[in-house]
Amino acid sequence: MTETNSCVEKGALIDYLYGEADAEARARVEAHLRTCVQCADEVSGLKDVRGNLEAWVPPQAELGFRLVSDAEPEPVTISVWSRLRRPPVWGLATAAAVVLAAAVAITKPELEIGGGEMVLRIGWSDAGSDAATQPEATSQVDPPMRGAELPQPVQPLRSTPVAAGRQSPDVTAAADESLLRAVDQRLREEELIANQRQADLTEIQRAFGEFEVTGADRPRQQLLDYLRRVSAR
Amino acid sequence: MSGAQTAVFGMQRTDEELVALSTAGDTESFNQLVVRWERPIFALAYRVLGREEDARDICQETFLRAFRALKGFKGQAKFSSWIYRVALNLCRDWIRRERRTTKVTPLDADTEPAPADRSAETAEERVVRHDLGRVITRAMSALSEEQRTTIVLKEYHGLTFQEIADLQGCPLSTVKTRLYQGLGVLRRQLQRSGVHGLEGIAGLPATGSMARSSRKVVNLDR
Repeated sequence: MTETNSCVEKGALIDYLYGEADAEARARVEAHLRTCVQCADEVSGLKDVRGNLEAWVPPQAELGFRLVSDAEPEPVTISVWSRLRRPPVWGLATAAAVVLAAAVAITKPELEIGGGEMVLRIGWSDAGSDAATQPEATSQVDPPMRGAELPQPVQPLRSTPVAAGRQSPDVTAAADESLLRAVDQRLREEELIANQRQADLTEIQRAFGEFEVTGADRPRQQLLDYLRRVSAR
Repeated sequence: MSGAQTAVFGMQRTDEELVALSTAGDTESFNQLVVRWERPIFALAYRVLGREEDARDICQETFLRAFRALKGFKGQAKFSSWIYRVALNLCRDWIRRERRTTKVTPLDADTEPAPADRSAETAEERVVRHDLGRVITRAMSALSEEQRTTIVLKEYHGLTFQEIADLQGCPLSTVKTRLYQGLGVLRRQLQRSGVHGLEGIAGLPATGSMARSSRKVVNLDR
């Protein structure tokens, strides 16, 4: 007991703490605790720790593991959560195609050959004329509209339940529970969106490789600018 | 009888019966074991490792390994003891691998706790409990792997001292020492975080029926 200054044998103390001491041992410990303030404080403190440990609850994880027989064509295990976290390939490909099409609509590349040179003109940098002549195309990828597809920012809500719970004790339980559920939901949405965005960016970056092969550097740069704007939100 | 038939007639087979059926090729029976034990195994891995994602992976790997090794399981131990041992070995391997490849990482204190089985709790209680859970998560990071595992097995899974000693391959006295020292470390860590006794979580019936109901006791003798 040198670590905690307790003068009761630690094995006996643990047996007592967990209610696994026999009657004789329990009586012996209790008799000592009545006369030893230090040990009484030690036992009381450890009991409090045990009580506080109840607050540590694992997250409500999506499990759903299931084994399928070898005769079936599916993989051996299927995790529902894994499915959620990994967007399907066709989804990524579609997202990449949509972004590329939108970028082309914005930049409206025009290729002119004549006079012994080849000129590739892109509307992106000429914002004034494009804005006047192509309002529909521009609005398709306007940042606010793209952002509107996403859930509202989550970060501000992280601290809301704590503040509300402590500052407004008269708030009804139902309302609080609803708020907490909303926070849980937003956090999960945030994670899913972040994963989807990362996957999209990876696929789109891969698509840029094709531009690189063809040597069309300016569209590639313009698309990179567009992606920076998207990822910054 | 297949697992599906079991479900139809509402019979509750023992772990050993399901193991026997699984060994005979009934995959559905093994899936019943998975359903029965995946939550305790996930909770064990989460509390030992501290990260939800890794705990989920360990949980899945535990059942995969168990399934592959099922034919070698001769009933020399209870299935629950066996599956716990598999999970703990995987956790230990994971921790050692992490130590080799990265710096010591704190347990994930930002993970949202489970809202399940908390219907009787008010929002305020839940928020306070949530905050305390984060404090405990951080305090657990200060424990050694052995101390943390011992406390988790005792406090949250209700194993006996002897069962823990068997799982950890150590004497009974070592289990009690780890518990004693571990609880002492936790006490000091909680005090540093401003949690002094149960009054540190005012408003919570910490030793009441609600708190006790969250403690899941695993009966390895089933």
